Amino acid sequence: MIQLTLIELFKIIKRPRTYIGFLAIFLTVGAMQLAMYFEGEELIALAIQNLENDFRLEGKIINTNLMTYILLNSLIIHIPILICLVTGDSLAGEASSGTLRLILQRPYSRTQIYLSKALSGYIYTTSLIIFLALMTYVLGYFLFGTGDLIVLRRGVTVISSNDVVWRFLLAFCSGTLSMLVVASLSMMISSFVNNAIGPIVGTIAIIIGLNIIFTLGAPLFKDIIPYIFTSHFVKWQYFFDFNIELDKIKLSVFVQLAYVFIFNIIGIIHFNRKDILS
Amino acid sequence: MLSNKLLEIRHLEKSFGSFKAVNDISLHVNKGDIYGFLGPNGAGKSTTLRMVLGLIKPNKGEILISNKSIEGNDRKFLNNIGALIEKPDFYKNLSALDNLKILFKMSQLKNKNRISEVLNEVNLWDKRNQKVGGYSQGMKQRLGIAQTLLHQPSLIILDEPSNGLDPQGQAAMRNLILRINKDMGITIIISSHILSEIEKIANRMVVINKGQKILEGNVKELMAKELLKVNFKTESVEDLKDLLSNKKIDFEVRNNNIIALINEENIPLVIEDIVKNNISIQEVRQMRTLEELFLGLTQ
Repeated sequence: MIQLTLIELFKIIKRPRTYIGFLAIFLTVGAMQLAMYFEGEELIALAIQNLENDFRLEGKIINTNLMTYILLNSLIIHIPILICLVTGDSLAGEASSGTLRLILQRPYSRTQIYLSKALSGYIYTTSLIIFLALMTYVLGYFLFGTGDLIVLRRGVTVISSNDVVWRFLLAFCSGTLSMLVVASLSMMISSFVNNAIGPIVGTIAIIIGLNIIFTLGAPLFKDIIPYIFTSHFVKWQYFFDFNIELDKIKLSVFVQLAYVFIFNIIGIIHFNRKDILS
Repeated sequence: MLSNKLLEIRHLEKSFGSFKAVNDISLHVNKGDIYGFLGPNGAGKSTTLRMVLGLIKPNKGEILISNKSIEGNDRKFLNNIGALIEKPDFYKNLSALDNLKILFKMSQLKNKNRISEVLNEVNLWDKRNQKVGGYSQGMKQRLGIAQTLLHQPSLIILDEPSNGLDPQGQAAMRNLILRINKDMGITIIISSHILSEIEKIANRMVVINKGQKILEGNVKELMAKELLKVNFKTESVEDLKDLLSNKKIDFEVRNNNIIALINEENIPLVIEDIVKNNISIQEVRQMRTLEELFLGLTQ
């Protein structure tokens, strides 16, 4: 399995599309940080004008911690697309290019091949999140310096700069788990189709559709919303509450792990039964 | 007694929806054979070969490699098979060397010289660092053969290996296949719609059509069994017609040509009678080929 996973990583490293994700993050984060550097004061003043009636705010509100917090929100929008570019292509792309039948002629089971592709996809996903974290925090540190983090969520929470790093670490871990669900979903779809576009479009369509249900919060879906995986994409924000609700975090981790497991099982079962006609 | 059968297919069936692609095919390939797999497009050749490789699951039937069924999840039987199915697809953004390194590792091989050996075998060593995307069709085909040889299999399956090659490329491919069979002792299954290719190199063959086996056997024996078409070009059409009628030989007349169906061993006797009867013949040409046999069987 290790050998197979290393082979899959080698293929990912050699593919030009792998670097689209890193380039997109570099450009997005860079552009947002620069925009905040030049126009951030006005934007923040607008956002906190109501607070100023009740609080006296001193110090650097725009700092690397706030920037990292804001950019973590991009997880839900941008990162799934970038992940699908690689994980969605792993089986379907090989099916369309004909190399799938080449590797299936070697003495590894289809389950091993599927899992090695999933594992390498997870490594890529994690590296993308680590890059996002480093890029955001390091660039923000040089542009804005550090400071206390003000979080406007269910009220106002001010987190000391000494108390914020471990929260970000856990928040990025939570975000990574959410993105592993996306990677597993696109891998599963990838096992059903023979072109690389299908898993990308399919995954994004599912995420957008479920997000609409989550955002609308319609009473009809009230009971299932906690179990929709997209509703857990923002659960990293729990780590920035004054009192962290561990039970909710545990449930979120459990639900997302369950999705990873289910998507992989469905993908493996289908891939094992699939006739390779490409 | 040890069986000489390297591959045996028993009552194989495969349907895609209501379309029966392979219908009760049984055949066997002996060790050392170059086994021709003939059939028109859509006959079920590729589907059958893909089932042998485990790429497609049969609905019914059994496939045995060295007398062991390939059913189940154990993929070790693939150590014995090298295959080039339909067209040589590789990772186009990688060099030939990197492509073979991937397959080398996936085959769990130890001898690192093996990659250079197979690239030299197909004359691609000098182009090893070139990306496969920039390879010509002939080079891709040769690289396809190289990857089949990588793990030193006892059976190689080549599905339409001459596709897209020019006549020189086809001849080179034929020579390479013959060398692999003769020098390395590797059994080869070759499917092709270029039937003259099969006729030139295969010792045994099967003809399939519409998913069913039509005949199987030794190529020479199959040819000898059949009546040969002999085309006589003559100015004495009536005399020749009389002679052939007297000898109860079927024929048809096309202008100055008489096409007769004659058993191969009787051809010298017929020609002798033509000479005795002073019938002038401008040209004698044997027309019966495997291609005609094939066309006759699959029409």
